Amino acid sequence: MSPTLARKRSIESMTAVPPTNGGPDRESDAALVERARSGDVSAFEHVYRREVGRVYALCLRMTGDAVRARDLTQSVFVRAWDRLASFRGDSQLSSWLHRIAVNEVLIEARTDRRRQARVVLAEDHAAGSGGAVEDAPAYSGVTLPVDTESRIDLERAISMLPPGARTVFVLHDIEGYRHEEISRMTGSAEGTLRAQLHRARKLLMEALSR
Amino acid sequence: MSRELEHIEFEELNDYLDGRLDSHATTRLEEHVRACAQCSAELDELRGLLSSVALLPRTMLPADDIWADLKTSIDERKQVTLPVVGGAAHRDGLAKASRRNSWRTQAFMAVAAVMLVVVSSAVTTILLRRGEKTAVVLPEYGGAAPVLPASFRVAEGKYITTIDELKVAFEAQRGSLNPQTVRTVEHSLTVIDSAISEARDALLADPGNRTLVDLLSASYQRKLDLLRRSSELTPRT
Repeated sequence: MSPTLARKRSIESMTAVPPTNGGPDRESDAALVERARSGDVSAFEHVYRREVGRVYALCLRMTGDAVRARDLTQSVFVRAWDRLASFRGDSQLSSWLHRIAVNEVLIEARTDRRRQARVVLAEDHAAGSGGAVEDAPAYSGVTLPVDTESRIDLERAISMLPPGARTVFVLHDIEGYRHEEISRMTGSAEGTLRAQLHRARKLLMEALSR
Repeated sequence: MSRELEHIEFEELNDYLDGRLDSHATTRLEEHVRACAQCSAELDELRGLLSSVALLPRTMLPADDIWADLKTSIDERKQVTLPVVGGAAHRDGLAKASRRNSWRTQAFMAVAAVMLVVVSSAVTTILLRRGEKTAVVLPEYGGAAPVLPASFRVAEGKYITTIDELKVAFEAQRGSLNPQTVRTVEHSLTVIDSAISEARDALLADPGNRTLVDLLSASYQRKLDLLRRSSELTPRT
């Protein structure tokens, strides 16, 4: 089996996670946090089960690397446990966790020297110097929800974007952050972010049209 | 070629779909796209991409369940927050004190840090004076280097690991904080480091002194709390 086919099959076996928008039996954020603050780990596990899908999806798309995404997801929830006292309930728990996740990924991206190798790889690919699908980073073994082949291709193409463009694309186009919010989070100027976003979209259109 | 026949820049197509164009530019672009097959196709392609992205699932799960590893990390974290020195009541007290987070202002952070180092110095001095008659004289040359009690070395390692992580988080947002706040935090850290250094030296000289162990633990905890609160400050505070 070719590496491409093997990767494709591993991705096709992935299943979607049911939405976690909650129902009438959903325990309130405030009640869960209050129990977790008092040291109730089972309450925190409830939070984890409810939110892990969204946190992991963000980490995976922003890194394009399943191993790093798993480690980051764990770090996000450890950080959340540490910061339970700072959750004041003026935002949704999911939004609060999401913000922690974005910060964790951005911090990791700044400190991880391995990123440099990925930049070179992605830039080379973007410039059309080879780098076919076989070079795509790290989706093997990941549980991605996929309905159609085009969605697989889109996820793979996103994972192959240069890191800076991928970050902006994921935060703006997938997660719905505004440019000024991303600017505050990343420290980059809004004009730079817009240019990176446009570049990301262009690269995706090119990748998907091949 | 007139301006009307020039193709629309890709950036402008993006701005159009993102709603960033004014009404004049929007009208001009729409008129052009109606007359230009190339730009119309590119706009459709871009619109199709964004539509596909909008349909991507917002949640995914890792291949294996992270919870077991996460729970282990949390348990280790709890041990760091609740040092091994002292009994359960002592640990609970430290945890509750941490959660109460009584440091409301930057100024109070600084004052608390200064108070800590003053009290630490005073307690350390008293303890050292009390122990003068029975102090162990460490060999100057050739002997084993003084070491902390084994029970505390584990806790200290966890403190240092956590503190290092929080430092990274603080450094990451240093640029977005008010410079005065950053100076206050740094000053407080310097003061606390001084208290840690003094208590640690004293403990090395008197490894069996549990009061010094508690004092050093409290200093590390203070540093950890300060960094934790600092890493959670909102921009420009």
